[in-house]
Amino acid sequence: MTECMEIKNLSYRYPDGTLALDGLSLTIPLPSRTFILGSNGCGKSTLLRHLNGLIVPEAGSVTIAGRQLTKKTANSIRQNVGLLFDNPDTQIFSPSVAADVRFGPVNLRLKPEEISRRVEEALRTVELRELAEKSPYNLSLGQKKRCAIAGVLAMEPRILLLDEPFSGLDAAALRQFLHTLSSLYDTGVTQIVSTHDVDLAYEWAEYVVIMERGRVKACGGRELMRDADLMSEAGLDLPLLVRLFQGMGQIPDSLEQARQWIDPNIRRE
Amino acid sequence: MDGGNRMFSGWEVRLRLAAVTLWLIGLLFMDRLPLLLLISLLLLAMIAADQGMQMQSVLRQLRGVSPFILLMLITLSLSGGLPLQKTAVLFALLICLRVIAAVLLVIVLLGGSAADDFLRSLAVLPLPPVYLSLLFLVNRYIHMLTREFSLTRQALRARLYTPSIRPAALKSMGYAVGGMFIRGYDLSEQVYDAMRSRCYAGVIPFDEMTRPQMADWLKLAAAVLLLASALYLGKGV
Ligand SMILES: Nc1ncnc2c1ncn2[C@@H]1O[C@H](COP(=O)(O)OP(=O)(O)OP(=O)(O)O)[C@@H](O)[C@H]1O
Ligand SMILES: [Mg+2]
Repeated sequence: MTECMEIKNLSYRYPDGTLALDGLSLTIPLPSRTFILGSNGCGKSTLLRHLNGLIVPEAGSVTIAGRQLTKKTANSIRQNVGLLFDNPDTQIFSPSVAADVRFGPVNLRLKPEEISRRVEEALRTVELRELAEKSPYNLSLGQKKRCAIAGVLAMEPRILLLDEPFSGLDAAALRQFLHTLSSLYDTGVTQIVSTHDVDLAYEWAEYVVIMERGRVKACGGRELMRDADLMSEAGLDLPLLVRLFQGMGQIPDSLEQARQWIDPNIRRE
Repeated sequence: MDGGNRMFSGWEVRLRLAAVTLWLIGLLFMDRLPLLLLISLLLLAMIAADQGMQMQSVLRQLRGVSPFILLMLITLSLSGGLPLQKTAVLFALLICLRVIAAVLLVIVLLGGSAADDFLRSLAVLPLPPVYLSLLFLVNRYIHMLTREFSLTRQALRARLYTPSIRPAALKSMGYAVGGMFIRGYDLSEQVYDAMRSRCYAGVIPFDEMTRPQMADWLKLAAAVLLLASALYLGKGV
């Protein structure tokens, strides 16, 4: 049996009475690159908070690679499941960038040399080495996002939960981050990404989860994202590529593929 | 480390703590105004020359305690009743100078901004880890609350708020301060979540210790020597 992350009948109500998750069930293969899509307030962030054990399931269950998430197991499961918060301001709390990145590895009780190596490497990945001693509060939004990303990467988790990781990044930082995610994926690191960027999701997702009002509306391969009715019901736009090739018989999987298809056609004319 | 002068800020924290503690005790035995003045000025000059410490934040801390020192100066000077008596004023000056010197010493102890390193070094002293974690959290929290306060002030200013005692102004100030406290509460939850998500389980392992170097011990020796001579000078005729 291949490993997976299994969520069964998960419900969650915030203290103010908002029902954020409503009997959600979902199985995510491990490793995989999973994208969670859905309109504002459909419960994506709440779901990710459950998967990292920040919220321990009250109704329903979460099982990660065979271990059920409970109050007792939360901390040890967390060592392998890193969560990037949607808002970097809520994730960063240390007086310097380097101190914030170091926080996780220190809690993992690693050796000092290993901690330094990880901090160094994470900062290099997000290209924040020059700003290592700066106060994270005095960074630009994109830089804060990169600092938060480094804080999670430094823990080297086997599963990365990324809540809107791409917002605020400039083109170069985005490219670099996607490159990092790719190489991590090659080493078997699962990525579960919540995003509003359907184009990115269409190109990168291996597994797509579409949420609506606290439930899973549909899940499966990226071809789900070609279903115009499904997408509009979930309040989502179709990816650009899909819109472009809609009604032409076949829809390419990526920009690269689209170019390969178009190129000979253009030359023929 | 960078090559700049880091007389105090680069000093290994445990030895720094030892030196400062000795000096704080020593201060109690110094009762000569010129000597105390000299020590305060010297400390200030050395702090200013230390490139690891931000003069701005040092001055801010001094400004923070100055009202209390002033208050003390006035009440103690008046302790002999009016008209002012010379002995009372001198006594007041003496106490105030001691306090100023003590404040400077504590600034030296904290060595600028690295409160985290400071706590981490205290970890090797026999203090319970929960207590250290608590200090750590309080420190973080104060840090964030201060930031929240300045953000709130900016938000008020951005909407052309000017402080005054008009009822309307007071009311919006009230809302802002109230909002700040609610946000402060949210903030504490957020920090807690952010820490838990990165495997914080109630205790922070402060285990990345640095060992004191020769230079650190030499600084301690120098501090003790200076203290001894200051005390000797103080007793001399
Ligand atoms: N701390 C909270 N207290 C009360 N209700 C909350 C809280 N956080 C979120 N909610 C509510 O729970 C629901 C799900 O929120 P969640 O943040 O999971 O949505 P989301 O899918 O991540 O949305 P977005 O795309 O805007 O990030 C929303 O209706 C929201 O108003
Ligand atoms: Mg969200």
